[in-house]
Amino acid sequence: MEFFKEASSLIYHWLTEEERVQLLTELHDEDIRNIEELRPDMRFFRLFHFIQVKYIKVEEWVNSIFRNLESISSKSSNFFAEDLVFKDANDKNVSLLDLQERLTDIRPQSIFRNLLEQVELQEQFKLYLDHLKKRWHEW
Amino acid sequence: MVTKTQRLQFVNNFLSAMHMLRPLVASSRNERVFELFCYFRKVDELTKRGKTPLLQNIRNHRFVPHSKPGNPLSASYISFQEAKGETFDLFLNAKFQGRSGAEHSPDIVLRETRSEKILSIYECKNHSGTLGLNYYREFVGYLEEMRIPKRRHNLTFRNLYPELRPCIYTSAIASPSSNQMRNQYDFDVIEQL
Repeated sequence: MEFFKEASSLIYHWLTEEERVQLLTELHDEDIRNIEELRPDMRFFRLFHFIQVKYIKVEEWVNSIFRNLESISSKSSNFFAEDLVFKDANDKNVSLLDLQERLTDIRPQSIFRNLLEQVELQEQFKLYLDHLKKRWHEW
Repeated sequence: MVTKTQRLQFVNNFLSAMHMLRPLVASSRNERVFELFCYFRKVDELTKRGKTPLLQNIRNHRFVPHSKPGNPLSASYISFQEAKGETFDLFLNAKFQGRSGAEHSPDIVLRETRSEKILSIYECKNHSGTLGLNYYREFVGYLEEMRIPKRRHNLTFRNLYPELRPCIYTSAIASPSSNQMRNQYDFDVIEQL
């Protein structure tokens, strides 16, 4: 439990102020007043899931968009990856292709899996997610 | 067996690597990518159901959909043509007037081109943990405001056109207590995306 306590504290203090507010909002929706209310191991996994959704999954989403674009291009007019642009919260244009290239360099999913292996918690993290599905309100 | 100190060092190294990712997901980019992911997932689904996708409002060879609520026709979107000649439009972040007169912008809207009738809506919830019941209540409000009554997607209709079933896409886990609401109001929840 000592590891979970210290690791949770490291992750929580690493989050930006904005991310802490987002986390708190999500916790409130789950009827949890603050992260300290959770048992240290659950606190660690909850923070870990937050990081996974905020930082890791984007790689999978971007790759999935590109697969879908290929499928659309084969059925209709050519739709090239470099043609897709979105605006961020500051109204700055972001090219999805540039984003994919930068994500490919960093490989977040692989970093995430490595950490789970290194701290020997792959199974426990899966169990945590399964448990959330079944008995989420009891944590 | 790894020691506690080693494990904490691994966590520290992981956070340093995440630091490089921060600029890529900052300024709501992560949320925007999730919406695009859900949008193109629906595009792919409709295409696989035999509808031909056509890109609309391309600007300088670029597909730029709305990132915040706006007029449906003032940004890029995809329309679909059916074999019978009917067309449908799939909008991202477009604003529509609800039954009450208030304006709403469900994340993704499928609309019949000619009649401008909204056929279905899809919400994208980029959350971790479990998705609170408040989001399901909000979705039910959208269904009512967007005039998507249950009868329009009854069993026969849904079997013929499953892609029209309203849906919440989420990266979170759907709470078990949401099942009653999904059944009662007849919508899907696709979780852990």
